[in-house]
Amino acid sequence: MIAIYKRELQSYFSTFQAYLYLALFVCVTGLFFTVINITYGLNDFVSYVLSNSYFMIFVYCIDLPILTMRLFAEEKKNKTDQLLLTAPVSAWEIVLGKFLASFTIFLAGMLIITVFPIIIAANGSLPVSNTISGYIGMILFSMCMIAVGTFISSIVSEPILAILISAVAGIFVLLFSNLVSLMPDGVAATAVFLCVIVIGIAVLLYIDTKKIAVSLIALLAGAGLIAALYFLNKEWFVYGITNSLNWISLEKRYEEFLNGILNLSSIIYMISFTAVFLLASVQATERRRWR
Amino acid sequence: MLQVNHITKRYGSQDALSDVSFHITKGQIVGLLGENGAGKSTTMNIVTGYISADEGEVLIDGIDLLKKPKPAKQRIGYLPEQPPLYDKMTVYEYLIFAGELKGLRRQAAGKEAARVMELTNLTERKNMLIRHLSKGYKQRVGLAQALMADPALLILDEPMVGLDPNQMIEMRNLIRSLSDDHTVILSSHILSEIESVCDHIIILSHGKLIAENEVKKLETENSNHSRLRIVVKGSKSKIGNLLKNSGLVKDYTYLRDVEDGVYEYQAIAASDEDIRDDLFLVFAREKMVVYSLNTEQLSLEDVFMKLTGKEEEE
Repeated sequence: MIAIYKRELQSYFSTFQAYLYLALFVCVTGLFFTVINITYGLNDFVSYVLSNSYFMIFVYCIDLPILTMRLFAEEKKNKTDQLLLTAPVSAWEIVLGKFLASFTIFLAGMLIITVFPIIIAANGSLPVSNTISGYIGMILFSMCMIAVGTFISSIVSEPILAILISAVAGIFVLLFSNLVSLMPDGVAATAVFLCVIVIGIAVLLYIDTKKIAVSLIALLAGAGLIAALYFLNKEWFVYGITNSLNWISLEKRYEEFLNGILNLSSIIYMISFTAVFLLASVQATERRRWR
Repeated sequence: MLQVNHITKRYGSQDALSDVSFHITKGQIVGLLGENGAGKSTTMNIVTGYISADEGEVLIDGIDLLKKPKPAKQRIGYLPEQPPLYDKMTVYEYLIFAGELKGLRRQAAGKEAARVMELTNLTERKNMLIRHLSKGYKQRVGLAQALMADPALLILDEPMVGLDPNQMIEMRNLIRSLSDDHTVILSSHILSEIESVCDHIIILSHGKLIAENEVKKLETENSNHSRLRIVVKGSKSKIGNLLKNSGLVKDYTYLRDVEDGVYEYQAIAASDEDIRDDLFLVFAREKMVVYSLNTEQLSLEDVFMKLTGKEEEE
């Protein structure tokens, strides 16, 4: 894994990628800092820069996809994945090595922009706890988005396609709360929503295993669970859709950090979210052997 | 060293490989032959663990490649048809990376890189970016990568592609020298190259293994006993009469004057049996000297054409 990590880091700096990512990240952050914190004399870097919608769209729909687009897609395009997949290393080591290299470059960017709150602290009063919590939140949220980008790169063969899909995924994650607010509430809507999820899982299982019995068992088990949930907690069904979607919303959890709340369950959720997408990347890599 | 048992690989409804089994012992240089799409690269990709077979197993030194991929892959060095090179790395950096991937520590990888660069004549170009190398040198870097960590089994997919004649001779000599302490499987479209380097041949056609043997045995086994070449001293008419009336020969053709009064004929036997002894005695009884009497030997190319069905098509 260390060999792959080192090569990825070297590759970032032997191409335009790391320089482009860092230059854009630092310049755009500096621009927001200058316009908001300096011009208006506001001392909260986290609330006015890191929480800014335009800043977040820039980071998660443009800048981070630049960092993750080539991770696997270019290896497949140039057939250098043959070296990795025939070497005595596991798919986990490959995925982790690549993910950690991207995350390292991201952390380097975060380290550089620490200069902005330091400037505020040197010239006025900085809300330190809020800033630290905001930094932790941004690091965790970005870790999740890098894992999503890693997964996207592992399922496509063209870096340009990876960047486009990652940008769309970024928009989806950032607008998730807005989409949730459009969802209907009520017992019937929640029941339909849960049924759609169960059917979706059953279909995916059938595609994966090609065994109708497996997907039927999943379908029956899911229906049973929905019925049990309804009889055990009818009230939950009233706001079932919005509550569950808000629970899985990454952006909602990120907001907590930006508001100075360090929630352990959110930290565990974001680490788990990252692990799930890295596992999906491992599966996608392994699946290539069986294609 | 390598045991491939009943491997099958399907792409959709198409069988890329169908129930292929073979066994390669230590120290052999094995040529994998087959027309385009015969399944050579698929076989190599399965044996190296790049792709998995739908059925069957691959054992390397008795280790199942699917169940214990790490120790199995540690024994393999693979040069794919298109060498997996990172253009923006120098030759040395790339080989260090390949060594570390195979589990060598940095220092050991450095020593190993120096060894394989010496072996593949890359030492002078160790600090060059791979993208600046010619195709021949890129091929060498690919081979050097396969040699890193000194794997017991080398799998080389079209190692001669893109090499000029001098480089081909160097590559051929290098592969031959590697056979002392390695097992080598190589595929090539150039049959003469396979014939000159390999001692064993596996022929695939339409995803099926159709022949597996030593090169010489394959040539002998597939030789045509019914076609003979005979060089006899005597008069043309007497030779012709003897061939026609011997009862052994169905047809014959005069080929050439070998020297004054010595002629070469091609004869086609009336049966599938080896008629050389009987035919010799026919001439001996007439006190005619037979200079040579051979069944027609097939070259590897002839064997390949015959087994893959090209002969009939032509």
